[in-house]
Amino acid sequence: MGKRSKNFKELYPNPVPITLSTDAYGINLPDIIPHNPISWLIFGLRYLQIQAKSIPSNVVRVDFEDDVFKVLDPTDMNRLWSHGFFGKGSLSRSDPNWADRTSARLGLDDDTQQGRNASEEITKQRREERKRFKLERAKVQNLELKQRQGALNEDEEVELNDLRETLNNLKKIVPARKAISTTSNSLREEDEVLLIEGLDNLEYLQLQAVESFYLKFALGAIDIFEQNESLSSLELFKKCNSIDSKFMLNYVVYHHFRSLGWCARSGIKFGCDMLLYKRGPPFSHAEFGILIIPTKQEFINWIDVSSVARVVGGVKKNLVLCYVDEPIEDIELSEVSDIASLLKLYKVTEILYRRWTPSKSRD
Amino acid sequence: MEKVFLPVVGDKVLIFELEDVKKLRHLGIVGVLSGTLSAAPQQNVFLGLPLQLSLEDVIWLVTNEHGILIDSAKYHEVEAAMLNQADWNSSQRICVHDPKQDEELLKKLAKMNLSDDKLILKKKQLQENKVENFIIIPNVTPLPNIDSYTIPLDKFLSLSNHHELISNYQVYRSVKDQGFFILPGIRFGGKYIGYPNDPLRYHAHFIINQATDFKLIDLVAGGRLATGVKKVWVIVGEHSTPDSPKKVEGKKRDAVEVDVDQTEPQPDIVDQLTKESKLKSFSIEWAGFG
Repeated sequence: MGKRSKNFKELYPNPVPITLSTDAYGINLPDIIPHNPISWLIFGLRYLQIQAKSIPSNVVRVDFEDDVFKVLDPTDMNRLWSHGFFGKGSLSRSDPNWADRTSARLGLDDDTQQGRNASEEITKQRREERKRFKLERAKVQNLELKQRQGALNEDEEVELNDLRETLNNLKKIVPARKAISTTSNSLREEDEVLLIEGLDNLEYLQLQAVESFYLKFALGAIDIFEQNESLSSLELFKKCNSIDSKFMLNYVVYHHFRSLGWCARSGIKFGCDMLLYKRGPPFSHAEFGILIIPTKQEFINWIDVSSVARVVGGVKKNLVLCYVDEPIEDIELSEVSDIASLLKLYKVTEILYRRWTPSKSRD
Repeated sequence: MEKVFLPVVGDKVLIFELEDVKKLRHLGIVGVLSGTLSAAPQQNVFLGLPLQLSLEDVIWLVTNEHGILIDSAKYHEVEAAMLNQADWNSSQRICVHDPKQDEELLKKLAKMNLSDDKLILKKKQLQENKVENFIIIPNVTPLPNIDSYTIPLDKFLSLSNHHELISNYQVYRSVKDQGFFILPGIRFGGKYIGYPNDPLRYHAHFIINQATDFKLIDLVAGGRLATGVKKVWVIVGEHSTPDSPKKVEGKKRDAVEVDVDQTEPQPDIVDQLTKESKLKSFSIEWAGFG
């Protein structure tokens, strides 16, 4: 665990894709010792030294095509993923690792461990292990049934004991963190093209509208281009609103949780609006599922809420109902000029929803 | 088969008669037991009579002529008026009061050496308790003058508020008429749950929802939930042809409702409930689990 967390620190150094001057120029601000004026002096000098240099900019280029926000450059993709877990690989489950996986599968790399350790591969292997376990278990159960009926001959009795042994061993195997072997080496028909022309990264990182707008408006960490023309925050805001009528509502909640330090990602997997991770998907499972409810909405279908709550509860997360107070007067979002003051008109209140069974909660 | 009496108490149908519960079960109507068990009043996991029927159950029973709605209060008035004192003493009730208990109590009192006044008082109390210890079982036999206590379906439906009853009932009927048993589905985040036969013998197969106005994200939640509990998420909706787009229909109905208050009579709800409807259903499973 200790080794892993150290590794994680290198892989995911910052929670947001912003480069600090101290990191960029390798100048650290020393501690100030209040009764030692020299330490003040050194601090001041270092501070000026940093101020003299330009602000490091490491702005990612995002292309807006067909209502999709795409990051095409592999280093940029990696930067947005590793600094705050923004976006999703278009050909991957979450982090954009298609190129690694494919080159491992085709045996193009010398160092293929990276691709084999992709989350997709680990899941695949775990599923195969589980399938094997279930197969063995079914055999044992069949033989046990025969035993109860008294129709078991000696050979089968030996077999039953052997099977029980293997089953126990299988139970002891800890679920794999690392995939040990590539399971199938058979090439697919379309692989020929990749092998002849070389592996070109076909994947891009896809950002949600709320993610793009947060990165642009709140962090200034990306530039967005539509047909090679740069979009300003305001233009982007209007674009997002025209794509999705609930954009403002989603963004208010997204901004709220990101500002509080949570890593917020789409909740579509579990039928809710958002998922909250403490640090990010590689560190731990999401702790909360968010359901956004505008307070203006009069009718809430509680059957739907209970269905989402059961799904979210079934994967050991808690459901949070996020009530959003919208401005009382209707605001024409396409005529807004000051986004920051518009955001101030919204208020978010969270309520934790939990299924409570009296008979199970007595102690 | 004789029609089952469906006593209306308040705005609900509550069945107190065990025989009727059995009859309903043969018809595929399960209902929900809602009475506290007197032997175990501190829990609400296991419940007993009366059996509460859902609105849809009641509509199905009445429109298919398996049951008849009766006003429980009026029924008892008629019954009380008919019975003379002799009948009153002999029938229609159960004595939960055990005479042996009285004798034992009297013996105890005798042993206690109470003064005469107190003894008389105690005996009097005993006598009073006796009267209260009767339970009268309602609605067993059809009495003459049946019209005086039956309720027509539309009057019963006007007793309570309901949301989208007609479209809900059409979904209910389409599943019920294929032989499934239906229970309320709130436990599984759906409108109904469908059993292939008696719920005591089978697990539910379906979580049934109405297919109007649901979002794609509900489909994710529904599919995941149903597959997680080894069921199938079913959506049932009206099959609308291009000639009869749903939205226009809705608008028309709204317009009618505005006029209704002044002049036109309300379209007959019972007719709407029994109207033929073309429904289509789809089942959804989550394929992502290994």
